Amino acid sequence: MTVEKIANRQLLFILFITRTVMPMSMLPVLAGGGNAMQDAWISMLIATGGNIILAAAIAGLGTKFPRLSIVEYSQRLLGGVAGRLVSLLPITVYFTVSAMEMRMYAEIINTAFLPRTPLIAIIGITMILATVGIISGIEVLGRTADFFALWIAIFLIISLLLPLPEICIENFQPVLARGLEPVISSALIPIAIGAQYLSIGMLLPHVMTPARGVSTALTAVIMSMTFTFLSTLVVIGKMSPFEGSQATFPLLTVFRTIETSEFLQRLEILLVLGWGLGIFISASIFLYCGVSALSHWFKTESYRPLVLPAVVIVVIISMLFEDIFQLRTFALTPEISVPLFLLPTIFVLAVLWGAYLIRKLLSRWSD
Amino acid sequence: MKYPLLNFLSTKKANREIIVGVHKLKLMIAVGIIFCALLCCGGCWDRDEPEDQAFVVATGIDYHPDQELYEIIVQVADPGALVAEGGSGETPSFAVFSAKGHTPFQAARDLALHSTREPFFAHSELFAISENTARHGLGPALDFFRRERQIRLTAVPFILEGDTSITQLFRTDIPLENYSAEGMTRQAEQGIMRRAVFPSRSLADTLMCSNLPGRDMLIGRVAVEKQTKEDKIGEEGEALRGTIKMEGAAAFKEDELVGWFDQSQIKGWGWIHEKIEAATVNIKCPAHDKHNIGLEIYEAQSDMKPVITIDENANRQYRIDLFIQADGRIQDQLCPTGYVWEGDLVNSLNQRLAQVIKNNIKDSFEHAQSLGTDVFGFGNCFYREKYREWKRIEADWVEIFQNDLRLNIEVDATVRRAGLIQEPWR
Amino acid sequence: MSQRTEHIDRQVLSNNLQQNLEQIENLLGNSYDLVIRSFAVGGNNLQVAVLFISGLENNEAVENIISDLTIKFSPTSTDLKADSTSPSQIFQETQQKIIRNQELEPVDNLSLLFDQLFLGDTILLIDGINRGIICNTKQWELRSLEEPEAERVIRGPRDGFIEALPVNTSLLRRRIRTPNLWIESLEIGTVTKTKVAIAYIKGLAQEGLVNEVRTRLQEIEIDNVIESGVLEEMIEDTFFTPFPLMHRSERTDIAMSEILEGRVAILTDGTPFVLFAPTRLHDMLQGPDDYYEKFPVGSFIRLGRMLAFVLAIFLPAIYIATVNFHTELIPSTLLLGITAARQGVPFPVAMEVILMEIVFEMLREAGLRLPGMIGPAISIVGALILGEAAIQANLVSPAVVIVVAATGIASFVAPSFELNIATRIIRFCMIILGATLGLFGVQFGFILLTIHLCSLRSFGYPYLAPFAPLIIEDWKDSFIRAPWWWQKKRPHLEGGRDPVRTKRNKAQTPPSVLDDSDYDS
Repeated sequence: MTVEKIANRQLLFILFITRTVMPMSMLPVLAGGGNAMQDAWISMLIATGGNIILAAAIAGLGTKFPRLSIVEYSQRLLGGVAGRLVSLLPITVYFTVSAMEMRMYAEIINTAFLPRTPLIAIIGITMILATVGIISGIEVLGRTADFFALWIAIFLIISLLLPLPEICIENFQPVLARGLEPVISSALIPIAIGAQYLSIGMLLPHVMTPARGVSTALTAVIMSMTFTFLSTLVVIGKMSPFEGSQATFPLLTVFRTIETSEFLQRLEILLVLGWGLGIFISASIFLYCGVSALSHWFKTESYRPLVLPAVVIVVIISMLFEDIFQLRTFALTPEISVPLFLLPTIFVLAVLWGAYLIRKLLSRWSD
Repeated sequence: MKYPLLNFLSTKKANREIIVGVHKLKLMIAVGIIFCALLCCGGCWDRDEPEDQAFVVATGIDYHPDQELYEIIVQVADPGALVAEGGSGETPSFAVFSAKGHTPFQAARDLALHSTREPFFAHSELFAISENTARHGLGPALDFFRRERQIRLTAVPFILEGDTSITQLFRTDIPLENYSAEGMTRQAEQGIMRRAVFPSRSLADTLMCSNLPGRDMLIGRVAVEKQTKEDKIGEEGEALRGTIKMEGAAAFKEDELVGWFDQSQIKGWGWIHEKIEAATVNIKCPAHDKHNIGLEIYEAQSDMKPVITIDENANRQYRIDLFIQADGRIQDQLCPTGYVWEGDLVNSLNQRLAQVIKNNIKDSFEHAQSLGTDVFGFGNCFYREKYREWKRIEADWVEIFQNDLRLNIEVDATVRRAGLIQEPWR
Repeated sequence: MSQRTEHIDRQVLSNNLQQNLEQIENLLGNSYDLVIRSFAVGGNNLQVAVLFISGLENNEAVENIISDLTIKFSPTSTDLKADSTSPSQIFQETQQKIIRNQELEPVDNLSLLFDQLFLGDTILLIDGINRGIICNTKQWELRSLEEPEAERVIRGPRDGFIEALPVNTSLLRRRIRTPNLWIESLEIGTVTKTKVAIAYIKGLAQEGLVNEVRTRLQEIEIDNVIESGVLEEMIEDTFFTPFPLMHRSERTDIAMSEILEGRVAILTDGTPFVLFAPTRLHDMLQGPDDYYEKFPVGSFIRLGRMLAFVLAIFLPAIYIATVNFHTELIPSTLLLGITAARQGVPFPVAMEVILMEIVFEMLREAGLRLPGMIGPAISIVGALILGEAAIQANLVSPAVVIVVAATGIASFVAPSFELNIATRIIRFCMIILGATLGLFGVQFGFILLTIHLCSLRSFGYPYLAPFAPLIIEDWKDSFIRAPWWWQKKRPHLEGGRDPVRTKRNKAQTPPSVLDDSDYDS
């Protein structure tokens, strides 16, 4: 069975888009459960370090088994049964992330733009797009990511440049006034979101040169964390951290307060359109990873028959959140997002790396 | 597919999955189209025809303490009349509606009960807040502004002083304009901003200031000029004919109005917080100390620093060091002496200007102290730079501000230009 | 009919001339344009017959053949032996010394004879020989070379392809004078037997591509090939798309540049439209003008064209979405004007736009079909009056008329007509989506359109290159038209075998030494 191929650059764009778009909209490091306030940018720096470690670990493991997905090489490392059990964790992460991102996007649109549209309609429409994308294959998704990366970058850069002249430096003071503890607890949330890098596990077999996977992943991490860091800076600077932490969608509110010119008003819709493009890529990729992982798990020849049932399941999961409060508690507080995302990721990585190193040691011993 | 086998084998980069997937893709696209068709039939939930909406150009909030009800008054532009007659003639090109409710949000939604079209707030460039509401507390109104998605955060808020109700304000027939909201917006943006007589803050900035620790809000003040009997239109005087005066500001403690800053006191505040582009200052001429010289300050920068010293009795002394730097030019001169060459005369111009600015700020500060509101943000300065101290004095800041805070002002003012003539008219 | 064709395929010539001639006349049904001229040759008065189709032949050449034969074999001729008058010897002599057609050896199969007869060749039949000699006497009535009407340019060569394949290939050959330009020919269509030629540069075009084109053409089984459009549909990658997967053109300079970039040109006899495989979306948006004008001018025009293309798809949808869902985006005064104009209009905005679009489409199609002077007049007058009257009758508001008119004009900016039709279809879908969910519906349509375009392949090459697989070095020819001295490389995917156009490419600099002596005198 020939494998579809995406270029390294396309993987870079995919990782960049998935990691940047959603966190930038809800800005969990500022509006989330941690209390960093004006020191949120320091949290971002810490989170960058954490994300680098996560991404390097996942990508590094993937490069050791170039043509195998995480499901397959976990079976190879840990044996059939244990490997399958362990690889269930990434599968749940994929589906949960996909569902949560779509729900967040639907909430943004419903709250800020189309108040009367039912959420199921928005989620359904995004799901249709994701389904079409997945059935077309990862190559098409890669090319779409190539195409959209330009547009998303333009939208993001515009949305970051426009508020820049109006930043007050005083909003950043007093620096580290509340101590390091809220900073670190706020930093845990972006690191937990770094569980998204598990998608590398499923995408790396499709890449042209898997050996360069680690550098691709690290470049993507740095690019996306730069953007999120800059958006944190902009939000803190333009609206004080008090306003920023109270807003549901901080960057959106910042964009609403900018007066671009006399006749061009309310340009926040451009930002949200950019997010929409990114959400499509993000939801499709995670859905693809989940479906592909399931097909490897069940050892089916192709993942396409599994798509429709998976889509329905994801839509149901995303509608399971009852209200925005549940969604925020789920996604933005360290108490829940860390055990939900970070711990499984660390567990999986620790187990797989451990098994890999033990096997290497054993094989070296026996030589 | 006309060449299934051929395309399988010979097409570059193709493989079996893609071909099969294409069939499925077509199925999916068909499903997608069906879904979209259902969508169209089921409803476009948010679709509003523009003629079903009433475009609100100015919003006002009033509070009735006896009934404990908020009232929202809106001025709606009438597109037909605007376009057809250009606003001239007897029919006014706007309409004014109002509704009452327990919260501002409820009042806003109840507006639809009184008007034929659904109000749409996204074009409202002005927010008029009555004095009653300000005295009762702006909290509920500000909360409504922050939550509602239709509100334009770049709008200008102001407090309406005096006896005129907001309805009268909106019905005022201003010369040169079609409807008063348009006129007031233009007045606020073109004329008043940057002259340091009206705090030019958008709603967003006001909201931001209201949240900062150690800082109180300051919202501009608007009044309709004194009316004579002939200026009232209509039998009960619901409409007025006159001009609108925008100067001064209302000072708040937390979210309640406590007092007014008049024109010169606002200027004192403006030296510190306003982006000044056209402030006017009068000084007495250095030569005779009698005639007036009118200066226009076109640039000013300020910096403040908190200083805590401990005096002999081990008490803490709180002091704010202010540095102001101002540049101005001579615009009008009644003094017969010409200020032409560099020398002591011109230097004394600068010193007098600095002195005037200093006095201005000091007056303003004393007025704020008497009201007990820290509109200058001195407390915020302590919060930012001396956080640990702030944590201790936060609860007592109002008393410290009123009684103990000292202000040390240093002004570096320069008169840089003098217009197109050098010697004054004699 | 196929039975007759099979029957004809089995027929061969016999040795008897009379029989042959009768057979041929019967098979052709005594067709009035079949001309048979019999004459006697040689001392023994051997009967020889010359057949041709009148109208296709060069009269002079036929006369020459006849006179050559009669002179050569006349008894008074000096270079013949007296006994060389048997049929086979005459046949030998004729074939080797008088008429030698390297391409076509004498044949006895009637269907091959008919193939060549209908192209304008003359068949020479000798009594006693069962093979016919085919002489090249083609002279066709052809259109003169003129600039194609549908693809006019301001600057560029003013000739285009015509309906005759030899002329077309000659145009190409004269312009690309490298021996590496290989032109292969095929015959497609069981009834029409149309000659189709593939032209490419050997060593530059990818071998796989050429093989693919050739195989696909060879696999076609169809009875008629009227136009290259039939071929296009038979060999394209997928039919499930409104976008054209093969570029076509009537212009010789476009054909030249496509071949030189590593593509394969497919020329069809009977139509001036030449197909090119593979193609990309933004090839449709390029016009020859861009390349001949200066670099800033060319880039500007090209950017304008791309903007117009995007507008042509999205403008009505964005208008509906903004007015219905996102009125906060419109400046207040404009919004009040639009609302005022809509007082009294009974339809919702979406209906207005669809109505005006339909009327505009009908006007456009009608204007295309009407002859000469009436066509453009009807379109212009119709559009003006209809628009004006519709506004007066309160059927539509003026803003909608402007939007629809601007869209119509923008859609004609793209030089490719087939893309025009595709954008029309997509524009309607976008209007419906925009009326349903506002700008998010438009975004949904945009994403769907992008996925569709990204999944398209033209002969295996991605359709959205250089945007979809991001090939930055090809961007020199996409948004802008980089100056010629900067375009060192050919397009990455098709020209990959020989990527370097030229090694030494520098812009001109002013001469370093000016001769000052001119100024002194």
